Amino acid sequence: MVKGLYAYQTKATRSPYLWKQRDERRHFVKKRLFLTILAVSSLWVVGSFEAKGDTGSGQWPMAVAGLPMLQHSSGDLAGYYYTAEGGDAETWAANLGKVTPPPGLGSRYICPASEQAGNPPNDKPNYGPFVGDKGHHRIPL
Amino acid sequence: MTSPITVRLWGTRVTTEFHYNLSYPLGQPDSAAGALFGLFPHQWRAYANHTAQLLKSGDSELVYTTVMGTLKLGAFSGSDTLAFKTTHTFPGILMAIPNIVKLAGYESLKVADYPGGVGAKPKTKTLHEQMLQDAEKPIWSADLSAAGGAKDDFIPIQPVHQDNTALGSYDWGKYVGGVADLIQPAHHLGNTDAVESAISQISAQLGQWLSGGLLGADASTGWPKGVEAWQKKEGNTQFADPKGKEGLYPNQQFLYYDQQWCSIIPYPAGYYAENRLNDHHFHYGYWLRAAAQLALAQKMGLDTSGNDVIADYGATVNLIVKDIANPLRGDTGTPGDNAASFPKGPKTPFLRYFDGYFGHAWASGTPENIVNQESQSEAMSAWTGIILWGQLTGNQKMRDLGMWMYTLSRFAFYEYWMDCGQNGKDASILFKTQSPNIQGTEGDAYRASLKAHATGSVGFAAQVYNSYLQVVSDFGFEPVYLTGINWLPFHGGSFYLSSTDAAVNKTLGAVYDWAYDNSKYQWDNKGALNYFQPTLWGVTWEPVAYNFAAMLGRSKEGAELWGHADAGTGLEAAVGSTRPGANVSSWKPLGGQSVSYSYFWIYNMVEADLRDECVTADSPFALKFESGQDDYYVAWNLTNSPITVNFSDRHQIKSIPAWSMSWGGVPHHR
Repeated sequence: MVKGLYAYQTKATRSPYLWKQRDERRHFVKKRLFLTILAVSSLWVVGSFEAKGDTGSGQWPMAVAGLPMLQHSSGDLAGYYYTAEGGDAETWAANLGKVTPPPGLGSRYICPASEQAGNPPNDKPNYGPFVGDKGHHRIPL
Repeated sequence: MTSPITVRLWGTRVTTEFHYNLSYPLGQPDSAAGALFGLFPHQWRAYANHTAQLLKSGDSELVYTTVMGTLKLGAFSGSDTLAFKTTHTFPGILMAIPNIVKLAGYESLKVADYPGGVGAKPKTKTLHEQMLQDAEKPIWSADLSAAGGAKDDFIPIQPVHQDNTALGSYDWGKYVGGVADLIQPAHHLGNTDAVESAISQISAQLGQWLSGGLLGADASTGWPKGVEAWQKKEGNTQFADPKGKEGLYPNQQFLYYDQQWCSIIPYPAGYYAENRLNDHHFHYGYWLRAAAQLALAQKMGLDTSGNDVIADYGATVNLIVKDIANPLRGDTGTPGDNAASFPKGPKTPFLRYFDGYFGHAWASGTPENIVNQESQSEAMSAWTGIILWGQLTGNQKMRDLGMWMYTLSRFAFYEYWMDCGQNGKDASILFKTQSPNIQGTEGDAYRASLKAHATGSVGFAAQVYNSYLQVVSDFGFEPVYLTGINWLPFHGGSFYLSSTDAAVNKTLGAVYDWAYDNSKYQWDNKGALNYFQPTLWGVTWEPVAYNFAAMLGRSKEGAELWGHADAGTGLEAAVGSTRPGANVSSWKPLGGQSVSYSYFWIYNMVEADLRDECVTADSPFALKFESGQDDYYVAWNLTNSPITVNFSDRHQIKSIPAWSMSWGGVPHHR
């Protein structure tokens, strides 16, 4: 079943977006292989979903979104920065798109020049790559 | 084939060695070895000729003509790893320009009436009053193009609440950089209120972002270090909840280490710094200079709060340096590694932005193949920040890394953005007419090519790509945009823009004149031209033009044009036009450049005249200004014990106290 899944994914490499979905699914599958019997049953569901030829709407990976960010000390008294879960590229890539952005992030940013020119406030969220910004991430495999 | 770069600094000499380690994955062909390479102008003009094996046909060197200038063909035999060396001169930087003209602080100036919001009514203020206001309530800009002053003519920058004004990493950087640059001028003027206000505000700003303490904060969260004093002064007693009115909003301003790209990303980001990794060195350059100014102020005892930005946030600042310029190849650090000792900490790529062969950075992040950089001056701001932060934290290797990038970048600017090689002068040190491959001659041919409304080649570039150059900006086509983006910001590392070198001074001056001529041409022909906005100097960018013009050594002209801007006879009046319904004869702010700082900079820079290209010092933080009447020697002691600085013309400044600056003027003799 897994071979069939990969064979299908190989065909779905014409679009960068499908590349990304393929990679997300691959990691998703790999992760499930190490989980419990209950997780294996989930794998069957996933495999069946793929085997039907559905190229994926991007819905199911987001269904498991909600990974928190991890806090790391920089080594000084008060400075901290954040990462996604995982200490290597494979794990992190598996979590791509699942990190929950902090509430309100980007929602209050207004470019002063834009506001000055009479434009409406810029409410476009600037989440960036840590939540898997489409089109700008390539996953090292 | 790789080209590891070895850098050696001796005094003000920066020597770069270029090595090739050859390998033959498919097997070495019989009787063949080595490699061919091209020398860029900033390399062969810097003595690389003497160390490289250049290929010739008869007596003629083999060259390629490229957009970057003449590329000389060299050969590397493979018998040694060293292919060639370059030697450049570090020009010296300062923490701040001294108060050479001895401003007292009681000078009056007409300023755009903010934060009142009525653009048509300028106020007269003293420099002291204006400086305190700039430190307490910085203003982004004053757009006076609308008659009567419309809403948002003046954009206040409120660090908190961040309601609707949570600035992105670039705009915030310009803001903290500008406020931090006020500390030393205010100190030199004896304006202790402005000093304390600027320090308090910068401490709070840096603490908010570098602590990461705003993420997930609620009303019970304590203030991050450095933040409390400013917040309480503003009447805020605690963190606010997301809908509250007090204190800081949570989930704004934090750093994120992206494990895939191995990059420290600031949130909220700006200008694609997050999803394309663009421009981090531009953004962080302002942060680094602000952190360095705060660190120096604390070492000088100007901060009475007891905060210590190096102890509190030094490792985080180191991470920022590492993000834009990691000197390690094959870094193996992981998240959580202690970054207190640079360059330790989570891994980042080797020199993410700086290109040691081209001699400058590329601002492009993830785009492949075609990369570019627009603001070389903002890159210089970043290298200045690294130099200062390295010095103030006692990390000489970091300081030297910054000096190396600064030095190569300055010559790349002269070569590829300004193309001083077109403009050779007999008296030039760097671009002599008689030296090979100087294309220009004495005379005004170059200047003539830059006259107003020229439609052909204009001889300089606003953006340098790895395959072409262009006079385009990312934000508009005003002449001062196309030129000023390579002048700003104006700070203690900006003096490479001012030079007694005849070719450099002539070329940079010609580009300024191009901006002036074309602005005037657009203004004089407004309505007749099919330009989308034929304004003079561009909205709000007058300060950029004034601050740069002060560095060209045109003191007499300067006094007429911008020295009297406060008297209503400023530059715009001088060219005979004013905008309808707008007051243009007053000093105005621009993001990252406050009114009082511009005033302090312009008057002192006019008096200083030009940086002397012929004189160096045995300290990186010293330089000499040369004017027709007086020469000024300036040196900063950024150590904890007194030093003596020796200049190459045998002048000496003795016993400069720790963490302080000395300067002196002597009659010009030459």
